Amino acid sequence: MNIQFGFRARKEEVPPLRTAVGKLLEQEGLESKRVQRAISIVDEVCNNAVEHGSKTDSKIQLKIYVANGQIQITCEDEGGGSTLKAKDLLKIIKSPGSSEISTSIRGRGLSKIVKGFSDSVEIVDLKKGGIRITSTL
Amino acid sequence: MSKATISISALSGVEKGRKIAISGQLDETNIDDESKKIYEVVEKEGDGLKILFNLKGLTYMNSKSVGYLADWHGKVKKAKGKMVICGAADNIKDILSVVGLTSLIEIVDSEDEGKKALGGK
Repeated sequence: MNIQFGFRARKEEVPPLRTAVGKLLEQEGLESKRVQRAISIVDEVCNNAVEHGSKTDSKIQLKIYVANGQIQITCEDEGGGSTLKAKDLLKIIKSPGSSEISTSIRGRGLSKIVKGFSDSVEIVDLKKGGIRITSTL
Repeated sequence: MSKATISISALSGVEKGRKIAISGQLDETNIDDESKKIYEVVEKEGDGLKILFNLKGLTYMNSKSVGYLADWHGKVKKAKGKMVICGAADNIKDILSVVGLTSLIEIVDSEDEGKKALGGK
């Protein structure tokens, strides 16, 4: 399966995408636990792109590729939402993690959920501007 | 916008007990608004509050929702109360586990087990 979605940088656009990706992955016959993890990753990377990676209504691309039982989720934004670069997000993903459980409300999407549910995560700056996050599980 | 239903009621058999049942989905489109209902309980019902979250009908929660759970737990614990979660589906437990919340908040299967965990009968 190789499918691509384009959507506007609005948080309301993400739930239908989440549902659509979930149904498509179920149809691939993948294990339920992995499908659910992929749904979480899609939600977190897309919302990250909406909130931090984009001006309102700019375009975000979500690509889902499934082959040999492996799921690859790629989200690309156009930039302009914040000054964060790939290296900043990589620091968050690669931090060893604290033994202390945070009680803050924010900050778990990439560092815990995407990192924890993925076998690997790649984050790169795009030459045209924006960031691409690729999660493989 | 995603839909979630939150109902808050007294928890029978548990002194200062409240049951908060959440069904539907919690995500960026609705969690900030929905969370206000729970803050009303957590911040206004005083010391020693015992809360049982029944998540039986909850099919999705995002990282911010988890953050709110952690915040409520912190406030309840500071006020010498306790929080327990019951009825969570496998995917919800998986999310709570990967963020480390399962080491902070007790998770049980049934409401009866939840009441016992809160010191009830």
